[in-house]
Amino acid sequence: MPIKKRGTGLTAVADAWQLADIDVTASYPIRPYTAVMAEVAKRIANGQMKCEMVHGEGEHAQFSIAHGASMAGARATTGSSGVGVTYAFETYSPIAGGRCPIQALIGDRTLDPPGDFGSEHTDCLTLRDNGWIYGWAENAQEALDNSLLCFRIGEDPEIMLPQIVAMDGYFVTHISQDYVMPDQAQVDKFLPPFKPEFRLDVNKPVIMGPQIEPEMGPPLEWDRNVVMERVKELIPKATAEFNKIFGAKYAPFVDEYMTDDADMVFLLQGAHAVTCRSAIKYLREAGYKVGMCRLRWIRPFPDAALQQILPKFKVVGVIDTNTSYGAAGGGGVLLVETRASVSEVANKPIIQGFTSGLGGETITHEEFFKMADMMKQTLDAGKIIQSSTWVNFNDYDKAAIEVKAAWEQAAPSTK
Amino acid sequence: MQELKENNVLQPAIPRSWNEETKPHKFCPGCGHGIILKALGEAIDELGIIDQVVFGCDIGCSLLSWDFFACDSVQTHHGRTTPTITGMKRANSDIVGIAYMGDGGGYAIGSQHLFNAAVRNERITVILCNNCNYGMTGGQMAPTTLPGMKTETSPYGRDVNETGYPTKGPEMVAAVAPEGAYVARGSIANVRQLKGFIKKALENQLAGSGFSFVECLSSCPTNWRTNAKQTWEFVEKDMAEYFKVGELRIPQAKEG
Ligand SMILES: Cc1ncc(C[n+]2csc(CCOP(=O)(O)OP(=O)(O)O)c2C)c(N)n1
Ligand code: SF4
Ligand SMILES: [Mg+2]
Repeated sequence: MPIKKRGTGLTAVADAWQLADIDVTASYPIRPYTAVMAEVAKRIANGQMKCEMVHGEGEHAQFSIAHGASMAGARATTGSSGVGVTYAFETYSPIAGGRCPIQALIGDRTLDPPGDFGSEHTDCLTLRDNGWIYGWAENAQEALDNSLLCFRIGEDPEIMLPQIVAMDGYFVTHISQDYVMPDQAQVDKFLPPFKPEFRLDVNKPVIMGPQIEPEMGPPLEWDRNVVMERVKELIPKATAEFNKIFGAKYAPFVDEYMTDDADMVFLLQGAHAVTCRSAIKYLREAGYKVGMCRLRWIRPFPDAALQQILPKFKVVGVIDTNTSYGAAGGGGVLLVETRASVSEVANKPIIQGFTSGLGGETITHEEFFKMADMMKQTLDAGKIIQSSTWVNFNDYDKAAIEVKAAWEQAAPSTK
Repeated sequence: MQELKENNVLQPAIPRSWNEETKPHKFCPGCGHGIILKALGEAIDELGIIDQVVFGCDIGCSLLSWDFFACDSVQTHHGRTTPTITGMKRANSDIVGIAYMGDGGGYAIGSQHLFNAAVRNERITVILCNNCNYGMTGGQMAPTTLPGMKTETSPYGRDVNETGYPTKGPEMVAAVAPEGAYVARGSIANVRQLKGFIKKALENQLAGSGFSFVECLSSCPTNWRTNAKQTWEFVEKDMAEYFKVGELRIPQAKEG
């Protein structure tokens, strides 16, 4: 029987790892990821989980241990946050290139400076070019479900790629919430045991990750490129099957909210979607025809889905909870990817960027209202007014304009 | 020595090298970090070198000392304080470079740096606070966690069959550092002795003799979940039994 539980995104992933019967996990403390290692250590000590747990000597070691375990045929997991994610950077491409489908849990966190504990998507987004499959969970339930879905997709013999179950630090990793832990029989039906075709086996020796001739590299890279396309095909199939077995209702790529008659939408990923939906209810009452598109995956990026969905709208406000200094358009990663996805679509909407929710700040209702106001101005103007806006820094909504005018009146510029 | 402040509060004398504006410090009550830094501050005072000191703190509770001293200070990445101070010292040999870190920073994620700086006999001083756990992250099992000790990630006590024995840092450094290095292990349970070790370590750097390293047995009552008596017993008995206090390497006096 599925069990109703109260927990966090991290206990939910520990549940998923327990249900998936992982063989090896490697840890190194860093908040907010840390809570999962305490949870898994407790479950191993209590006999609830049977798995090797290695206390690594740093993230680089952690990911390497999981890599090694995977090469030996184990279902292996690890994870981190913030600078811990970037400390392990060297290992990401070799793990994906070696087609080792390990799973990492990343409870995101700002990079240094300022050594902040708050959520920000930048840490995990820096990995986007390394060939891992990943997307952000909005809540504990989705964290658990994404973990199972990721194992299933990543371990598919036609795929064999590592995955990241990403979630907003604290908002998802630590806020206590209700979720359902599925039944073992359901999981066994959905997720076959991990039986890789090529693994280190003393009886059938293989060589893994050797130094190869330079000309042998590009074909391997081509293969990694092709397999990501295959992931795009598998996601809808696996999601549909997941929905059927677990009675869930996930959209394969983009979760839409109040988009039927919308002329403008917020586009975002992760936990801020919760506040966004609530803000939309108020905005609707105030006459804004606004909706939301939440991305379930960042890699592979859901470009085909967006090409279908976005032309329905006139203005798209992409909210980036990350920084990508110097990026095209002046915003973050999602803005660049979203614009690129629909650049060749004839009736594409106007796409503007917002940077918000940095440093673990909640994106408040007021901030969503401001963004809606700015999007409305774009809509009325019929063209971009400002390519990207850092909310609370260079806003051009009505209130911000009035405040600016009042300041100038009080202290006229000396120029 | 104690002095009467304007508001008639009796306050123990604090080292001149401390940045008084940032006191009281930010460590938990009963934490050993403050005691180690007091010993360090007094050693700096006695040598009169505050104008030369560059103090680097690691990520860990040691970072709470980023504004602790009245001198140039730098906070580095977790485990990276030893190489950062090495770079500064190589760029300007007039400074006295001090790298301050925890056992997680020094023996786990930064162990290769500690090891290699010792092998190269870098003219810097590393001071390491051993509190048997990763304190700042909430008390997980560290390389120094004692056998049988309960932590957040060893709920029934550290099992040495599964996770090995605690790292003996000074012994490791003493084994690889060339002639000229100074290596010791002190404890907050004997501050006078600890200060003496730290002072010798700094003198070793001042003399250009070689690498210097002092591990300090310390307390973390917050994560150990111990009261004052239990805390002190753990430092004085349990820790000292496994981690032997004393000097491991003293440079031979130069001839002539
Ligand atoms: C690369 C990296 N990994 C992990 C962390 C998280 N982290 C912050 S403090 C800390 C533990 C510090 O423990 P220790 O060095 O023993 O110092 P203490 O707090 O016990 O004094 C860790 C693991 C980090 N900041 N950077
Ligand atoms: S957590 Fe432990 S090491 Fe950190 S300040 Fe508190 S007592 Fe000291
Ligand atoms: Mg420590």
